[in-house]
Amino acid sequence: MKKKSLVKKYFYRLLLLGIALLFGITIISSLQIYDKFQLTFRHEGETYIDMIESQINKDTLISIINKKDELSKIKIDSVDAGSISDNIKHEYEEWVKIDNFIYNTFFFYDDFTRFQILIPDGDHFISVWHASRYAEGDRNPMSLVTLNRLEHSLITALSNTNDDRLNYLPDNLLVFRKNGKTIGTIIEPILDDNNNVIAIEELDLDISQITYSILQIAILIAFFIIFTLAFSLNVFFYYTKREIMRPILQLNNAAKNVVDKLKRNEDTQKLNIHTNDEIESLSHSFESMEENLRKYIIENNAITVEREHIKAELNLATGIQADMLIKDFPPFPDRTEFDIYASMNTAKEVGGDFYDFFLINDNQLAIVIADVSGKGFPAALFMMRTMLMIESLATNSDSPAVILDNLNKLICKNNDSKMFVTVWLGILDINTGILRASNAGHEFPIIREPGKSFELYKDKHSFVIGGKKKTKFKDYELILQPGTKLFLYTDGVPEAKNAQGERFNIEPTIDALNKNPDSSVKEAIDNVTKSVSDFVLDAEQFDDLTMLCFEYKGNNIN
Amino acid sequence: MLDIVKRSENGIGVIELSGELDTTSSVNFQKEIEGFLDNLTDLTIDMKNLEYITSAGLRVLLLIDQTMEDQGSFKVINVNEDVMDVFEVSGFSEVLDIQ
Repeated sequence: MKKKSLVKKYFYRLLLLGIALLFGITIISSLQIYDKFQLTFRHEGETYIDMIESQINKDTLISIINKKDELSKIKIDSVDAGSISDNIKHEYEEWVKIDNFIYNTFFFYDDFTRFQILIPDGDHFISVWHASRYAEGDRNPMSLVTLNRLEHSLITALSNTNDDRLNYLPDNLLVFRKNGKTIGTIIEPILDDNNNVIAIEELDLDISQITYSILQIAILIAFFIIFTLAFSLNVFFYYTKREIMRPILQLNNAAKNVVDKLKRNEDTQKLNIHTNDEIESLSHSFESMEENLRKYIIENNAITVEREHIKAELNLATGIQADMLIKDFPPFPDRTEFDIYASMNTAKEVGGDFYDFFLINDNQLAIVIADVSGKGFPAALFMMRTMLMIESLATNSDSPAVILDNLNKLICKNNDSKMFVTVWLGILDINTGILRASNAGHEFPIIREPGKSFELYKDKHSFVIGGKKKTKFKDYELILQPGTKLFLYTDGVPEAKNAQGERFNIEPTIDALNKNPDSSVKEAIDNVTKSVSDFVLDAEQFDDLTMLCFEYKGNNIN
Repeated sequence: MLDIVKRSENGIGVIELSGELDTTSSVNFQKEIEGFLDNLTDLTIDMKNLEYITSAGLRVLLLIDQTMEDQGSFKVINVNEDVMDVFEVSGFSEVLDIQ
């Protein structure tokens, strides 16, 4: 079925309404509810015309007069209108024109107070009757338009004339009657034997009566229009309610809580809209949207489950990574020659930083801090690989540079992703306090010699691990006095950013350590952690934050 | 955070970096240079407006360095103090041609 547009629908309805209105008005007009005008023509005492007309107009008058002509066989010479004085002509031109139809009779209204009848007589007019004269009597000139009065007045007027020729009574008489009541007359010219006009017939209508009847008709039409409009509007609103409001309410109800219902997998409200227009299209669109939404929600649920799954795996991975790092301190409770504390806070669930320390043998302690390029899972995987390799390689050599060299070669062999790791590796001879270290692109260590403050130690550097196969690594040696502290960290510490994008930097790190240079290794790290968090405040942690603090206490304490 | 302007002509390419080359922007940077390095015999990275670089950015530089090693020459110019510190600490200053 072809869809109709609402606009078209309502256009047709309005058109229908308009047609109904027009039709109604036409019917009313044709109902002859106009006042009926009765015309009677009497001639020499006999009635020849007795006709009823619903409207008086020029054509009606002509037809009446033509009929009268036939009946009376009166031949009338035309009167030279040019003989009417210019003054009168000018004043009454309109009336002259109209009244020419009533033969050569001239009667003039200028308003309801003046009325006169002029009889053409040769080249001049005789004023037969004048309203002002009439007004001298008891009667109101306004009411002189009724037949009886006029008849009477005309007779009076004629009888007042001294001209013998006027001693005639009008006997060609047209009488207008409205609803049975005479409201006016037409008086024919009265001629003598030589066809001279000796008197006139007169037309008279009470305008106020006609106006009144027009008002009645207007009121009737108005009532009809109001009634039709009221009826049509009712029908209009009925359809609007049925075809627009109800479907929209239905859609509204269906739209309410649709997502909640779909989420709970409940049945949604079924739509039952068959208006065959845009609203029905809308309901179909709504249904298909609902279907898509249902699919989307199912999909989304699956994704949520998946995400939870990944999250759980991620937590597990975080745990595994954390398990690789030593977290029980002190790690070697029976070794009093040194003290170690370390901490790692990752920016994501898993991180690319790591620290490590292990006894290669009874006298050699390896200390590692490292930072893999990037963050998250890729970095974490690379970190674990590196960490395990270092532990394994450290057993073969007591030179950190050799260990790093081997590590670099192993990593470069399979490193298409071009990940790299910065490593600081130190091996301490516990008995002598000699520390051999090598730095592969890692941050400078901060060292505090006994009685002094923490200072940055710009050690010898080589390139990062995993960057170039042919990188050369160098060892350097430090002889640690008992009480010497070594602070190692990753770039997450100096590069910690606050909300303004400013970096913490290395100097504040050293300052934080120097707040209490004699503090324990744990306190040293706590000081830096606090300074960093005071600086960063609530900005998102950008990089992994890893620190290790080592204190050499000497070999002969116990 | 990072603006990358690159142009090349007759195998000679220039990349201008401004902003910060960090974990996020280096991902974008790596995408931008993919394909751009093809057929280049000489590459210059102008770091005049590069304010900072992190290890993730260094990784991309390493990638570029290794790609260009087989194709021709690669140099870095106008390195500011902060970036230079990072290059020195990481040992990149020994590896890259910095002018």
